[in-house]
Amino acid sequence: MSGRLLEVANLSVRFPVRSGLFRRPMFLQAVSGVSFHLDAGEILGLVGESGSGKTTIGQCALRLTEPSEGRVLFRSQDVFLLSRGPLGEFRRAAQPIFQDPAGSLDPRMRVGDIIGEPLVIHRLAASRAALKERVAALMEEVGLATALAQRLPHQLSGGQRQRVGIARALACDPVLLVADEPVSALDVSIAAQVINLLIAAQRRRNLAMIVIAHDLATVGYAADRVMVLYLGRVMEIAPAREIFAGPRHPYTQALIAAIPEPETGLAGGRMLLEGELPSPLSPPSGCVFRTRCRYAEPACAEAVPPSRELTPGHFAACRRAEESIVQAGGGGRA
Amino acid sequence: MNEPLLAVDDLSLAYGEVPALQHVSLSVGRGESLVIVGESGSGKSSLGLAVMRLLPRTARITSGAIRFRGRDGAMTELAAADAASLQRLRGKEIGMIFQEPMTSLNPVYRIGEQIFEALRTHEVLPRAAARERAMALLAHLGVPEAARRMEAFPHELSGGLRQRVMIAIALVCNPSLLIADEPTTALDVTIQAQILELLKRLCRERGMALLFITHHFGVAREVAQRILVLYAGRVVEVGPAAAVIARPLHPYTRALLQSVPRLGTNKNQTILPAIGGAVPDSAHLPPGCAFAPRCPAFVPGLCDREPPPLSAFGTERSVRCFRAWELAA
Repeated sequence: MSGRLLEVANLSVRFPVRSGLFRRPMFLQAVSGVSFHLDAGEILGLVGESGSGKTTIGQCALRLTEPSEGRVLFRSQDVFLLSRGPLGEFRRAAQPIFQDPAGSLDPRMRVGDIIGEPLVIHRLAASRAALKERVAALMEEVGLATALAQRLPHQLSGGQRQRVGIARALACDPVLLVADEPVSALDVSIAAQVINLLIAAQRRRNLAMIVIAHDLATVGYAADRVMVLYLGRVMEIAPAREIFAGPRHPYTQALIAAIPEPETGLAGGRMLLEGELPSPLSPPSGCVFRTRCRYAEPACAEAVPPSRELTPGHFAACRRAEESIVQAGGGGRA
Repeated sequence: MNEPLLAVDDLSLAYGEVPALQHVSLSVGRGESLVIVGESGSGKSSLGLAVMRLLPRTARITSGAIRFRGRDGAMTELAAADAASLQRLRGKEIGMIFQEPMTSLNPVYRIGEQIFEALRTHEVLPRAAARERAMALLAHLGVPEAARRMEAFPHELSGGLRQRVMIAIALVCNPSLLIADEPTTALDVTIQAQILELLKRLCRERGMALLFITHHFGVAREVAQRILVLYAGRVVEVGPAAAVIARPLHPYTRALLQSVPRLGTNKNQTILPAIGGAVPDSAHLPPGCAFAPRCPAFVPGLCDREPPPLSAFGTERSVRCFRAWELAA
């Protein structure tokens, strides 16, 4: 842990959509007022259900989606204001890992060329021989036999393809990785291999990482801190172990209770969330979670609850965060 | 359980020359829930489709029988049944739901029509009565404003509501067996919890048996009375759900359970025990136990010669491993 790498301040993203009888232009509020930071060498987990904005936040962090408001600072520089030279350097230093390696690898390129391409683009290989050597080292790092360099992506298994995606992301010695659902397309027995590989690479290279997933257990395992999102807003941020041992936001509590564990099944019917996610085209006023919250009261509709620091490093955006923990009987499952 | 509702006996199935299922036997009693757990390529979906006889043309049943006891008490051999008798059972006595409701629903028909189409295929019923029953069922399945949703098209509903509509279509004729192939995998976790609760309630209320297919042990535990684990087309373990999870007998079951991170575990405290290697290609299975190349308990000369038999372990469990007794001791 050495210093702040990424600072996201008051990030909002709106997408224009047209819907309804007269194709009235409307705005889909994907992300609203999200702030967080990431230190060098740290793994931050982003969890939330569909429509929570987790993917959009990851894309903003990589400058792949332009925010409507707010800033993303990488090493204190606004990534959306970078000029050509520094932008190239940012593109080298911040790398994505995608969910579906079959869809993110060029089907006509050989594995060795896919992994080496970033080195060619950023002119980091002095010679053909140096490039080949670098690619071989990367393949070894991610546990791929060098003989596979001549293969095409479709000739690999899902787990091997994801290793190719990771090797490519590591090629230019990045300092930041954004992995969006890196294991959700993989088989159970392969997912654990890839999680361990990512953590090993992160430790060895002291990388900062944003891991985005819908699976709270996986994110909680891999991350140092976890940020829980709902309808584009941050509900809670806390160190990974605290999120499970003492979740303070009613949504986090409900999310944890909804996960069936092999040993115990669901935690209990009384914590089950009722109803569906509200439409992001017309989110509820005040607290966006209040329409499904068992602790909601009229005041929750009036203003967006600010994120409050309850214990050091543990933030929750709930007016009743102090009470909910008592009523939920602790709420945690760890 | 002395008179099973569904009895699959020594079923083998191949796509061309590639085996998908090998000598699979299982039984589901009336009102019982059996969960098939497996990874991709294990043959779990082929098993569900075989019972419904919805397999693609390239699939061949190469051995075995699938017997189903109808409401009239007669046994039907589904593996050999003709189109007419299949038609009588499908949708009426055996219902099925799938992972992605959007691809199973017809996008150009209203929800209501799709539910009473299922009903009127099997029962002579006036339109108004069919409509009434469909609407009552939707309301019972927790669809808010059921009357209005009857007029909606599938794309106008959320994923969770679409899955409830699929369940309504499957249940409208009161089947005695529901086959559910990964019905919650495409859903968000809070919606998944709702659907699992709903399925459990329906089985209880109607005495309906459930054959549930999943890759997720947590989901399996939630709905299962018994769990059957498939690996590379073979049954590797069967037993009561709690026992299989608390004390897995097959090294594959044990390794698979351990490789899933539990809530509240963290990399700084424990290392996730991953299973090495990959699921073998069904066209080139190893000569002995299919899990042998990845197995931590592998013994050369024992596990790589011939496939171990599925053997009884106590009265309620079976396991396909030469070393299960030694490892359980």
